Amino acid sequence: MRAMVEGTGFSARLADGTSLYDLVDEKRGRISRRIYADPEVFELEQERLFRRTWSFLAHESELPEPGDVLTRDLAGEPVLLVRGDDGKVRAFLNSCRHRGMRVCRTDRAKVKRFTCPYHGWTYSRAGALIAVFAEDLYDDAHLNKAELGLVPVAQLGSYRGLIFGTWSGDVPPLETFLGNMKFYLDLYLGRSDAGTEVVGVPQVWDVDANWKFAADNFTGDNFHIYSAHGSIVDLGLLPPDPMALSFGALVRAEGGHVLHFVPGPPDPAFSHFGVPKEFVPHIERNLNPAQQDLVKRHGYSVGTVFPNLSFMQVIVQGDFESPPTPFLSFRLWQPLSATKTRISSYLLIEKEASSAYREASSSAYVRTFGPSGIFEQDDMENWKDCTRVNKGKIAQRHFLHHGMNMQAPRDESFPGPGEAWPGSYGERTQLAFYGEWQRWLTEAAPWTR
Amino acid sequence: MSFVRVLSTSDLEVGTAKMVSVDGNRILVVKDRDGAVWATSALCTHARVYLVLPELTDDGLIECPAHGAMYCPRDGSVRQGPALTPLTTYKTAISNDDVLVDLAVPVEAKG
Repeated sequence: MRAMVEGTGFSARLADGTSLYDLVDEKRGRISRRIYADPEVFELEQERLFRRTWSFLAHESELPEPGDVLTRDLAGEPVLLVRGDDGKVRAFLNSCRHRGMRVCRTDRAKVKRFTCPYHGWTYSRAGALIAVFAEDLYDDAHLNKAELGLVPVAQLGSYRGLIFGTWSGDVPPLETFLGNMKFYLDLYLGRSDAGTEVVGVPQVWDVDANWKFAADNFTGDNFHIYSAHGSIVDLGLLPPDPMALSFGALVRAEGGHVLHFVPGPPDPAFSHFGVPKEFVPHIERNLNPAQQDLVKRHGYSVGTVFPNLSFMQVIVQGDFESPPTPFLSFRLWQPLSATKTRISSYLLIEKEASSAYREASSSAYVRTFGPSGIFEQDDMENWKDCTRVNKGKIAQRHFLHHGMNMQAPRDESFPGPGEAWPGSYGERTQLAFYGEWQRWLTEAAPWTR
Repeated sequence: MSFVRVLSTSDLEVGTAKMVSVDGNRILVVKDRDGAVWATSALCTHARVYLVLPELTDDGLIECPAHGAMYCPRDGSVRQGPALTPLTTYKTAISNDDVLVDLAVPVEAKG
């Protein structure tokens, strides 16, 4: 094994000599526990994955007007997004060029300009430095405001309302990075004429778990439902047959982007993810026949946009009185350390949604997901325990097993791009995610396909 | 009286301000919405920041970019904090197409 990864400054081994190629064995379905708990792996991830890849930052609907500002993190560093007077969204490192102070210290704001709280250096909505404290005491040789604007995020891109950024100038444009996953994102974000918007604000909370457990779960894990969420089955809010959610398809799009599709409840009137019938003509206008077919036949679709943006289009009963109601959530899993993750969960809805649908979808979501949700609490308990145990040096001697339904032949009749396998019980999507993760940790240009 | 030329009247649009340098001193020249030309000191008296915003506010005031202090261009008076001290104002004159400013005699501010 090479000591360095060719064409990079990357070491191919951890400090104790372990090869990075041994952390993930995609073919045999074996995963090292160290990837979930080792601070050295966390640092490599930050350097090689998160400081290079495209990451989700915000939804367009969160900053509709010039001067609207959001503060977010990109690879663990603070960024601000601002809609300029020209209507364009820009993103910058949220840090004054004088002493490094954040120039915006609230989650969201409406600003004319950004004035640093420390010494008052002031930046325009386009990031230009326009005023300096005691500027009359500098000479031209010691102050060139033109080169002291806020540091821009290297690339910013938007697809169907989702804004992504990257600190890398080398990674290809967003739409290339998303590749054929765009076909699938359209099913959730592009099906109505006006597109989607965020309901309220994202719920944000921290959990003592490695981020990859969350991303792994949302690659399409239906086989945890009957044990992890058994209490919800016992309550009668899920069907009692443990094979009820085993049907559908697992899909491996390009670039580690993965998802699944599962048929809806066995109700002859059910179709189109269960969205209100007034949206069916929208779907027929906005999606191509293959996309329409997938929407029409399914009730659930969960996936992960590599590396750490997951989504869920599901239909749930939030309580005993309410009918099954669809909702769409996007969630970002940001690593704060090897064993701590910040979750940001967004509820999205069609901009045209009636107030009744909006309210029902919102209730179904908060009762099942988000920090108060009965499903999310079950999930977090599992991810926390997995993380805690996988820190152990004894535990780390033994790999974790990911090998369900590897023998299944591909479903050649599946209408969407990428590779698909029949049924939603299987670990192809998890392994695709981990395989891509390993490429980013070991390759100079992992985006080259 | 020692008026010096600082700008052409055509350099300054109605409702805007421009910072100019005269003998190493920076001053702000303003053309209000009635077309009258005024001159003030260019440093905000609150946080010593140059008053660089080219547009007057909707109320015709000079706004500081840093903390939002507002001044009246006619007499330098503070119309909105955090500033407490007025700007210094200077006499102006128009000769042909030239804007002239007399820096020798600051006009006493009316607070």
